Amino acid sequence: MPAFDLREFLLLAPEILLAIGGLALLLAGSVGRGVPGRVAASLSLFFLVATALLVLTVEEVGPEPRLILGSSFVLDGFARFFKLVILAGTALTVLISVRFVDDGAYRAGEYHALLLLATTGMMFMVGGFNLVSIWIALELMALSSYILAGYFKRETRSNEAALKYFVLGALSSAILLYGASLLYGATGELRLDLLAAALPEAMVTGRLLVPTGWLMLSVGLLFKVAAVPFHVWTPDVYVGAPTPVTAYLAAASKTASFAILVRIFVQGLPTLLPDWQIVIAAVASVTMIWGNLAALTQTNVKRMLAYSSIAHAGYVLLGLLAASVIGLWSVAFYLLAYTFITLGAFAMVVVLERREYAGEEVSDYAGLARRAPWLAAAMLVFLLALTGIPPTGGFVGKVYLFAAAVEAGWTWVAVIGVLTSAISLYYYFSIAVQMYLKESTRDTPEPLGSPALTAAIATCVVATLVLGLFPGPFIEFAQAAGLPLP
Amino acid sequence: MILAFRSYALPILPAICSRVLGYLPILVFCVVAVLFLAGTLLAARLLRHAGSGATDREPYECGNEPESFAHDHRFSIRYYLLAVLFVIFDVETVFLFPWAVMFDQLALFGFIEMMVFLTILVVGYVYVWNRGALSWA
Amino acid sequence: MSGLLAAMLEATGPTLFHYVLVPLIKIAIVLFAGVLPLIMYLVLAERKVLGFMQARVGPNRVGLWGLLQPIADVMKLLVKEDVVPRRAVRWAFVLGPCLVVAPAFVIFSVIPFGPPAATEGGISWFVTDINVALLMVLALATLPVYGIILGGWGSNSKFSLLGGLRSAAQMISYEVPQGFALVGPLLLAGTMSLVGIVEAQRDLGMWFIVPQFVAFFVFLVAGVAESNRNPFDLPEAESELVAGFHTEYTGIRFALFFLGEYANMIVVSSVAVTLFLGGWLRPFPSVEALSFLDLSFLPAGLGGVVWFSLKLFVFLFVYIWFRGTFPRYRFDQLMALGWKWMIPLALVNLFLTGLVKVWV
Repeated sequence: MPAFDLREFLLLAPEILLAIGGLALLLAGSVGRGVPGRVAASLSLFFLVATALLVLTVEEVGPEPRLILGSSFVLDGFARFFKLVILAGTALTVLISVRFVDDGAYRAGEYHALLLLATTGMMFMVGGFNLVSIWIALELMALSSYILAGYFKRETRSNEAALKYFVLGALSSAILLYGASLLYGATGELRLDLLAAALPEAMVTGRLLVPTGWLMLSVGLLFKVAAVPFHVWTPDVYVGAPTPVTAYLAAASKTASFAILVRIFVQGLPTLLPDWQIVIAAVASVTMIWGNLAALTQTNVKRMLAYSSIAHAGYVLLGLLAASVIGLWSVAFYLLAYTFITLGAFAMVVVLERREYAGEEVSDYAGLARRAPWLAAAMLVFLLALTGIPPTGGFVGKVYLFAAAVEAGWTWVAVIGVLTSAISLYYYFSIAVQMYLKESTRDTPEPLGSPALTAAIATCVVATLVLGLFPGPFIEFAQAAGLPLP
Repeated sequence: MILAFRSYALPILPAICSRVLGYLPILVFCVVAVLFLAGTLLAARLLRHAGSGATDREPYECGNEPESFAHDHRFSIRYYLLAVLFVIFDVETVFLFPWAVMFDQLALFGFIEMMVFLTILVVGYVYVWNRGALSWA
Repeated sequence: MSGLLAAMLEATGPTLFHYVLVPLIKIAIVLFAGVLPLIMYLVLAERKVLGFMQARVGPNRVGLWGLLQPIADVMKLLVKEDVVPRRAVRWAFVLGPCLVVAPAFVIFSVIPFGPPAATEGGISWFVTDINVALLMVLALATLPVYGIILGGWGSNSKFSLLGGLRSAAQMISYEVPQGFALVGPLLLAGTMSLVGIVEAQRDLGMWFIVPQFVAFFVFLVAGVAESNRNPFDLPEAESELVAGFHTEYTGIRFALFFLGEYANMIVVSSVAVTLFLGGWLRPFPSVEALSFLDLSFLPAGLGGVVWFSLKLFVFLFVYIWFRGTFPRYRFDQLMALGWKWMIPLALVNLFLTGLVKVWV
């Protein structure tokens, strides 16, 4: 048995605190009539901020990654970066949720508890250094997300979303686990670095185990990031889930899934680099093309954003495809920017949304510029950023992703990326056209803000613009998140 | 797959065999139990008397003609909830068994670990209790 | 006898001899000389004891004191008509009773009725000893639930369906505290082998019922509930469910359910005896002055078997005693008892046992 040092638990203090927070909210929320929505939201914000502070203080990150708890987890710049991004995304989600949860007839404590527990899972995911610990953390995230998607338990659409998410998610988790077990069978290792070291020999002795294993592993991971052809669950789940939950899935959940995808591929399977690059190139191109083309025909904003989030998964895959220093940090930077942009865009959907699902059509944005000029301007910023137009973080991120792909010799994939971005201009700006060039009618819903919602949108706008105008320090931050390359 | 089997499973087959020999009597017992059942049912088939008309083939309903059958109706969702709770708690017991056996080696660390695990379990337990999932009425 | 065995060993080779042939002989003895007669006479004993408790005589017509009554019952059940209800799901209806009986029998393959062989080539009083025996017991003890629910559902009768569901709900509810309760003795023994657990009690110098009386209590309650016996015999509640899951069963299939229930009683008693009452050990195994209780004048560890049987009979008597004494629980009370009392009790016991073990 490997020697355990009880003090190593201290290094996990952020995750432990967050888990305690989630459990405490769960318990408090089950007593009597539960916790009032605002109290629950404040508590969960408190826990998130405290956790972020702990991440910054307790988890010292040296130049060398530090393996803890029998090398189940690792403390490195990569984990730290993504933990902070995820915590920021979750905090914004909490802000977006306040009014929404208040309007619903369901228990707020449970909602926030699940949010915190899912975030705990994500933090363990990005810090995982062992296929099993990563998988268990992934399941913690996934199980909490399934329930969150079905939070409106009396709404058929929410139920449908939860059930589809659950069935397909469970299937993909099973495939992922099976792939991991095959790799384990071939190499006898679960630790990523040892797996990488054992793979060359295993490829000779187990000719079928290794390719089958990594292919299944990839399918599972690509499903989690919603890349084509494993994306079919995304539109239905994103539309059916309560909008703040959709935002959370599109931002935090996707970020965490990308983090483990990158970590497993780069640290665990570097030997297979030539093989997986081809697959990733194909998947990335198909994802960008299909995501953008499908978004063209959508009239429901949530559904459009769902397809757009699929397309963005394709862009991020470019950075992984490059498998270079610049590629990896541009993935990190893009996910940082994307978190704020997506959350901002979904926060705007929440502003117009009524009675759980009304107010989601593109036409509901008609004349918004006249009725609420600031909100319309904010939406415009998010649309610009999603398309990848300066001066936004979306632009900077995309430039580096494409540059990384070109530098690594994958010019044709980068070209597809640029072309599809141009296509995306059409559907994103159909919203802008509605806001600025169309008149509102009697049926157009009034924007309904709240202080928390406004704060969230303002934060996202500022972050998006700052990331576009002054990306320097953030790029350095993302560079610190690099992984050792093969 | 066959190749994989050949290269991985074949060399360790003898080792597996010697380890599972202690289970062979259990298999033998299974066979005996099945044979016993088959024998009993066969004996009954040979000995029993043939049976009468069709009226006694209706499901029992205190002598009334049944108007519907059990499978026409749905039954309480509570049983499903109970089954889910059972699965959760029973899996925890399966974790406890190897822990208990290895307790001396794991010592204080193992005890603390398991208590953390049980605490989380108890949180869930208190939660379902508070939400009324444990009350049948 | 020994010459015959030696010849067999010669003919079959050691593996087949030790792992198939000898177990086969033991199985035959356990099943046809042990469990089956015990069940038959347990039924009679139950009727006699209940009769005594209720100031009546009990069966007394067939044979002296009704001693031939079980044989008459078996004959009767064998010749009864076999009714399969119209619109029943036939495969489930047929499979149900079999699934209740077979696992209950197979569990006896790991129960140690007496001590292992003292010398090379001696007699071990169990069919096999594996290192996960307790897990095996638990796994097999779960299977009858399938039989009951298949039988209840397959009958396509309302009483059967409700009875089957209730029964399954009850059995799985009590399986949780039962599992938790078993962890206590496991902590003390440090092994899942049932032989090992008894030997641990010998080494400790006392039966595990002394340090683990809470676990024993939980196990006792859960065991009674698992075998669907009074005061937890709701699945068959005659007055409300008309015998529950086996309403539609007749003849030999009914007999199999009956057999399964009694076999499960014996299983639960055997496990309790092994885990908590020192298995084949005499009382106060550490007190030298009582060593005459070992009955060492009996050959080849037979004294242990005598002790095991005595404890088993006491346990079975307690079962019957319960039936004569307690009124039946209501279903919600039953669920509350299992989920709200037994589980916390078992958990607290588990925590304290671990704490004491860490401390000492």
